[in-house]
Amino acid sequence: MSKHVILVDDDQDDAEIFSDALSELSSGYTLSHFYDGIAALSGLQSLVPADIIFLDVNMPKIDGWQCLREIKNISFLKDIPIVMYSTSAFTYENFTPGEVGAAAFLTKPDDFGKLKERLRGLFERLL
Amino acid sequence: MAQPNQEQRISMDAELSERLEFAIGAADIGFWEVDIQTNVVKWDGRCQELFGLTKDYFIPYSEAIQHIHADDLDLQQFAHVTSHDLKEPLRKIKTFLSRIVEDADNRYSVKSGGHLSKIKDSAERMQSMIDGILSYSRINGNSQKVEEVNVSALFSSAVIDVRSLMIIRNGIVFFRIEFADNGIGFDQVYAEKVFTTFTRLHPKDRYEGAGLGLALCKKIVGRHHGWIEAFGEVGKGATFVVFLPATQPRPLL
Repeated sequence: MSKHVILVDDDQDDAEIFSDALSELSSGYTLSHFYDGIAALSGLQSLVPADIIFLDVNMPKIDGWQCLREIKNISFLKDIPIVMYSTSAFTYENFTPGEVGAAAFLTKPDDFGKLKERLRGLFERLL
Repeated sequence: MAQPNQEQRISMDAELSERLEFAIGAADIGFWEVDIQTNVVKWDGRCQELFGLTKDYFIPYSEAIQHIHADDLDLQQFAHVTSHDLKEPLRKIKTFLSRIVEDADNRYSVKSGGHLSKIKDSAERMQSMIDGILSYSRINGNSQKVEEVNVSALFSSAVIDVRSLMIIRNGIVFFRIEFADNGIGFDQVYAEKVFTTFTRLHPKDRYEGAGLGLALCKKIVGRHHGWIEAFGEVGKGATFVVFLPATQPRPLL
């Protein structure tokens, strides 16, 4: 069965890279992309249920952390695994995913092959 | 900051003079920056007359903290800009480059392949400079605490000789730790310059590095109220001598 992957990221290039990596990994993933947290929060409530959510940290309107908290407050969304997805590893240095309610932290890799590898690992563990 | 009332100058014989600058801290009160110079003014095989000059400036804790905080804010802002605004486009250069190189359908000449690898090397170098700036700016964090560490566990295999001894200068006990390597070395005229940020003494295509390592060392040692000196010989190696007060006054500078 196809898995529904959500990406919330204001960066068009990163969304393109992510989408290409996903389709090269397997045809079994459907991607929905939102440019900001507000759009994601309303979209998540009307779309086909999501299987995993990737949240960029630095975003306009509401940042990834706030978006994470909001999702965790919505009863039918709170159990969906959330991966925080940031450019800088320093973003996460003071806490663990568990402490903030995330399933994992992923630093945006600077190599396309590495991104596919990381995504494969996360899907094996979380889906 | 307090200034000395007057400054006296006398002719000095470099061979027979010594200058020592250090800071003494008193917890939560402030610290004194002390500058001591001594000169032998009469010498006939042994010292007959000695002339010395001592300057000290007292910096109250409140004032020191203000300076530290202002610097910290600037640097934190800077670190934020470097981490996000510079890293992001660089990451994309590398990602899209990896996509071109890894795409088996792409065919390009050997020459173009060489150019692609030059782009990659340049991006890598910029990455290491950005990481260096980040490390450098993050040393100021007030959250950093003085801790005991096992120094011998930190030595890299590049260091071939480490010696330490305890010295007492003007009643203050310092550890003097000497690190020597047998690497490329440097000309002694650059002994001060090696500690400046982004200073490299060798062409960047020959030796890796962003030119921040020793600047980092100097800053860390300075924060611990000590100082560092460099001695080099081209082609033979370098020796770095770190002086740290045996008891750490608070706060970290």
